[in-house]
Amino acid sequence: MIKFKYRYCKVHLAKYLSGELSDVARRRIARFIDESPDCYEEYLRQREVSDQLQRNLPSFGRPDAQRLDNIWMSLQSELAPAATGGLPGSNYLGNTQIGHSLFMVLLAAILLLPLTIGFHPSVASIELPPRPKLLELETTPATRSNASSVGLLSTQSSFSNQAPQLQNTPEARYLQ
Amino acid sequence: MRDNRPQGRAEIDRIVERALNGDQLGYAELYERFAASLYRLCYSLLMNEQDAEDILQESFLYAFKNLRRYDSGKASLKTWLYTIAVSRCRNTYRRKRFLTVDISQWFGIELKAPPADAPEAAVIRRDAAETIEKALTGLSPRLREAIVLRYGQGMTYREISEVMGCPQKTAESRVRLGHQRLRQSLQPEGRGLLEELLRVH
Repeated sequence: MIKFKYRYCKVHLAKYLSGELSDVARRRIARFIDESPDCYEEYLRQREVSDQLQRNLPSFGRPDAQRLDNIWMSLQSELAPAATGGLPGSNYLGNTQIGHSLFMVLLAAILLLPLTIGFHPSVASIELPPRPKLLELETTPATRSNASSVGLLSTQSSFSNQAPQLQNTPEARYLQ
Repeated sequence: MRDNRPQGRAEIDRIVERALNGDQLGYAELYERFAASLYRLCYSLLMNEQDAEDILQESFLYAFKNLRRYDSGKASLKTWLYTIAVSRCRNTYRRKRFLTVDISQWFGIELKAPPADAPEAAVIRRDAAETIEKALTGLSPRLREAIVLRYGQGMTYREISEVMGCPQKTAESRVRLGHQRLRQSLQPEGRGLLEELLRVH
């Protein structure tokens, strides 16, 4: 029973000292402290530490105003470029999104550039290789007898190329 | 609809609303309200002025940029700010863990304290802040956080559990464990002080 009381006190004393226990638990602890010397000693020890902490910790590392002002200044300067002229207000996110959108549009334009060149009107204006002109041969009596026009000459020459295959045909004979 | 929030909290929420609508004085007011206590929290956890300044600045920077994410229905702004700061402090002492290991422990060397009768030693022993600092440094980061939030910032167990991201029972037991450890490390000093006072008078 003594052990139980001591353990119970040990667990709940911190809350008891800061007044956070229910009425029932509070009355129980108070009774244990009165009845058990071990609980009383534990109570004194914990109270001493709690007092020491509550007295000293709130003033621990208290900054001077100058230090806080300096931090505020640097905080403002860090926030200013991000928000383009001030602390983040309603337009902060908007500006960032506009920047991202512009970047994406630029990227898309760069990627699509090679495709758009293929349909450019300047392609149509590129000069094609010149068409072969009709040959004008000097007319001789021999040729004049066989053909009266340039067109016939060209036909004749194209037939003469195929002559070996047309040897036994009436056309071949005519040409010879 | 009735506003169930405490008056102070409702006022802070109005300042937040103003800041979100682009009122820059709102930001200044928020900084003025919370900077000192947040700095004290960071300093108590890190025991280093420069680190505390850096964390304070980082925390406010993050909080102001993400003020829209703050949900007043879930927690107070103070708790939200403390959560941000504590998480950054954790990152800092995780980074510094290897640098702050006591080399004397590695090599089993016992560093001698200044002799008790030296005047400097007496001054150091009388300085309560230094005693607390030493005792806090001896605690594990989690126990230190619980003790600092409880006794340094006067937070309830519920608020401590929200800031530390743990159940309320865990927060309670951390405070209790920290309390026990501190008692072990503070009491020899207390006795020494008492003896010193008895000797003088």
